[in-house]
Amino acid sequence: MPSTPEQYFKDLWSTIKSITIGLRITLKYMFSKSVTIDYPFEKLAFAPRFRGIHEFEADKCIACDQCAKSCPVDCIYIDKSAPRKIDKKTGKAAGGELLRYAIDYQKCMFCALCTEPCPTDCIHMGKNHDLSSYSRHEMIVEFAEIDKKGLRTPIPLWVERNAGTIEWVAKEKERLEKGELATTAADIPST
Amino acid sequence: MTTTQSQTEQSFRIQTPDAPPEAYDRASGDGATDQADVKTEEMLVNMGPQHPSTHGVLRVVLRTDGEMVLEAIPHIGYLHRCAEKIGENVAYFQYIPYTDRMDYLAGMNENWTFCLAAERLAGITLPRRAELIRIIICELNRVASHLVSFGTYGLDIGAFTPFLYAFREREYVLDLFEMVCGARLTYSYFTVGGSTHDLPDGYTDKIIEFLDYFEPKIPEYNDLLTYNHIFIKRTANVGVIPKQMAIDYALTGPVIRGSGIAYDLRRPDDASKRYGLYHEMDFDVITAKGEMGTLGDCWDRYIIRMREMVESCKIIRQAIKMLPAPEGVGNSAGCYRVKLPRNFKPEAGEVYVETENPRGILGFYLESQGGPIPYRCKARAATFCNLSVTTAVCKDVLLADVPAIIGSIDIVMGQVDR
Ligand code: SF4
Ligand code: SF4
Repeated sequence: MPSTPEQYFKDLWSTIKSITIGLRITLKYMFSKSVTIDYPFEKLAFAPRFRGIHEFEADKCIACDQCAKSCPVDCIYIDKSAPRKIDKKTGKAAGGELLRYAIDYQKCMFCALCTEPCPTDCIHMGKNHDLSSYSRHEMIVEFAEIDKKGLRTPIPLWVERNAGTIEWVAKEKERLEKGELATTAADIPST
Repeated sequence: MTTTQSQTEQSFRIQTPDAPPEAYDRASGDGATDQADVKTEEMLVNMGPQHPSTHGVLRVVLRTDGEMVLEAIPHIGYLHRCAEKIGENVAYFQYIPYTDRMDYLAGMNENWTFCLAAERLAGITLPRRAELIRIIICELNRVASHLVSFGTYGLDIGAFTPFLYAFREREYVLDLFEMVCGARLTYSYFTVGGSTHDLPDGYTDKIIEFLDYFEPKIPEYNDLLTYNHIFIKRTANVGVIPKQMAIDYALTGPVIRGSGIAYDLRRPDDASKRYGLYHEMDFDVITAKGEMGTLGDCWDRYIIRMREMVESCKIIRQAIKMLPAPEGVGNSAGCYRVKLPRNFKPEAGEVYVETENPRGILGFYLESQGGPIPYRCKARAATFCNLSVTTAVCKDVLLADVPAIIGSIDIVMGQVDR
């Protein structure tokens, strides 16, 4: 509480001065370019190392369980009918069938520890970040099943929903449907 | 006017006819007389756990008398996730993602401390490049963390604008982190024996670009918030932590330096506590001098963070100059990682390592029995110790000063509760 009238006016003056200084900075930025983007209508650029929902190449997987063992939260489930091996000629895994390869995205924390030990380099971190779903069991992605449809990674709901209206989402959907991997870009995106 | 008032009073009384007058007297404490028309009572106010100014799920029970807070008792544990116990069930490299989730604003620093503990346990020394990468990335993270602290402190005091400026700059740091490790919050970038990836090509240029952009912004923040008269009035002389109290409560980080004690583990008095290559860097340990009021007030703790950001930028620039050219994996100076066996098994033994986190000293105690999994894993969280001073400081302060004090201690509940 101000003790004297002199102090009171001094405080008042300092306050007005600080507010003016602050407003001058605000005014400066009012006329400069905005730093935010209009997502989802504009595309958000990801760095090439972005760790999103996995991309899995089922034809190369030998079901060796290395990824499941290194996962800290045990969210990878693998099942095979017989041992699988990489066929030297085709570069694809042959032998038994990969019965199940599922990742539980309720548990996954996108740490990328599963991608490191893979001997055939068939599991990668993808570029999609949003896997919302209507029920809990939809969060468990059966990669062996979606591979039969030619997909490497699940198509998120928002991609399905917005492909008709937003151009870049339509492109993204096309890429996902073709089963192209997103992890082949240069290290630093040119902005 | 008077008639209406008495009428309302009357109707109020009619609504509660059966309240015994004795009960009212008992509640007021000593025998109420007819003359005493103003009765004050102590009241318990529950602040949090879902309160915008408690930085997470902290519950503070305040014993108040009108506007005065007589006592503030923090209640913690709402974010307890057994992080230490989990450490005793997963391998060393698997625990790194969990350390991110302790102090989620400074994940890189947490990663470093844990990796350092595991490396000391196994007696690994890092190549020069790996050490410098750690310094660069962790100082960037310190900048990002102090930016959040500065922005949210403004929010606590009631200034919304600085928050937006702080988060704008933090966004660029997060972009840099996304380039280097792929995540924006839970990095898990460092691993035992170095880092998971080398820096991408052209990354140091990006950092220099960011620093050139960022350094002129700090005076702007000072104009916006630091030297704002209202802000000074709200924080100076509020929540004073004297030197002795800071030592007694084992405070660390900006909180103890805000009390005028130059205690920074990047510049330890004792060479055995050294870590990283900080001893080769030229930077100052910032201590407060009580410029705006008493030494150790909220403003002092706040200004430490602002000035440390400048020092961090200095360190990053030096580290980039010292960075050796990249080389493949091995043990020479230019490697980012030491090759370690996948089932990494340190010898039986124990180690306790402390490093300087943005919020204070983070320590990891690890005990190995020769297996791939630590036998005991314990974290000393800086904010947990810093939070303990709340009760001592929040004595006979105004209610509006409580968020200012808690904000200046700068807690992260993920680390407090673990
Ligand atoms: S480590 Fe690779 S090859 Fe082995 S099971 Fe996992 S994805 Fe398949
Ligand atoms: S990213 Fe981490 S948590 Fe997710 S499946 Fe891989 S190892 Fe497990």
